[in-house]
Amino acid sequence: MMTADPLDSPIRHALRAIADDIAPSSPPLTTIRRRGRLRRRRRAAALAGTYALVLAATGGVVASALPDHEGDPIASHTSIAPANPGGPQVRVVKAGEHVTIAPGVELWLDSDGYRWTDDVPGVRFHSVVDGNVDRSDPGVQGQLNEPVNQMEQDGPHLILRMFNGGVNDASDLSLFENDGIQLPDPADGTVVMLPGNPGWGVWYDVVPADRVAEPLGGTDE
Amino acid sequence: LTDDSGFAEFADASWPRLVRIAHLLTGDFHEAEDLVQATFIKVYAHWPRLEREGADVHAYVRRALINNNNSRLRRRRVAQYLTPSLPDVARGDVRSADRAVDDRSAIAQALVSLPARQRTVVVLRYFEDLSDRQIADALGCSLGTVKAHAHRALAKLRQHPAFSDESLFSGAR
Repeated sequence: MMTADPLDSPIRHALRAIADDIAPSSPPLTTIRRRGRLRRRRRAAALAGTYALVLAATGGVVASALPDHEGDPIASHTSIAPANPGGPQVRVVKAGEHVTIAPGVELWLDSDGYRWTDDVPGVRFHSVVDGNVDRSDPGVQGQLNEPVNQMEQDGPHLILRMFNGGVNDASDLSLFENDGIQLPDPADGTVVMLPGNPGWGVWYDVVPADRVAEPLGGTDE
Repeated sequence: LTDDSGFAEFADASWPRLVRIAHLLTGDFHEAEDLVQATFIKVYAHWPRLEREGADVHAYVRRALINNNNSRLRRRRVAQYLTPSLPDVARGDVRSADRAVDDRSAIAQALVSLPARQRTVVVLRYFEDLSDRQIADALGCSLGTVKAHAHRALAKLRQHPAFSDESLFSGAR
């Protein structure tokens, strides 16, 4: 049971007071409808392209053409191989070994967490040992949905999740929300892990912008 | 005949509350309306499917709003990097004859001073009245992470002058 904090009540009242200070206008339905329809059309076009890519992949063409980081073993044949041929590619990497996961984006794993660089200077880091990740709570954490190129908000987006609690097959990568809204299909992405199945790893995928923060895996129309 | 049966009603009913949530997340009314509009455009694009699948639209919209806000903050960080001398936000030293307005400004300032994830947890917990488990679902993180963010947010707010004023506590109860 959550213990009440002395600040609970003041914060609650303060937030309501701040919220009540504003007077929202009516929703701009005409603009929303117009731009929403445009978005639907773009999304349908993007999905058509995605399906073409999937067809090519099942023919074994795309997997062999992926730009792998030199020296990175592709361990789809390891003990955590996907349950079906369409499952995520699994890459077992050495600690500190850099993997290119999208154009200009490198990821590497260490025992204390995972780091990545992108087009913003500096190394970004998510720790798995600082207490922010509940290691006793298996699941997917560390939500990241960002454009591969920050200057191209409508361009491809990198979706990255840290998973915790071990993984035996693709079905363990529960990237699904509780209310039934589907996040990216884990079978479409790639898993990066350290050797010895340490109980955590990183799953990632690159998807069109229209598929971020929205139901995925099907068409509306 | 339109393909968005029920959307207008949903938008009319939920727009004001979502703008208020966005206002608490962003600290800026205009940014809040822009954020909610961008979110509704995405919702509209998926409306037929959301209706067909009977999804929890409110939970979906809330999550989309949070994700859009995170993207907005990320773009802002990039903009700050590219623009070394940013214009002042002029949030400090707000003076007004109305003490209540001063208090709210100070509290809003305290809220805005929190890191984005902590601020989001505070807003969802204390304005949306979500449980920590529901917040974890909305943020796509663990229950432990939510508790950690909440703990750190409260610790920071406790240090802020806006929440050290005894009159605030007496007035809130």
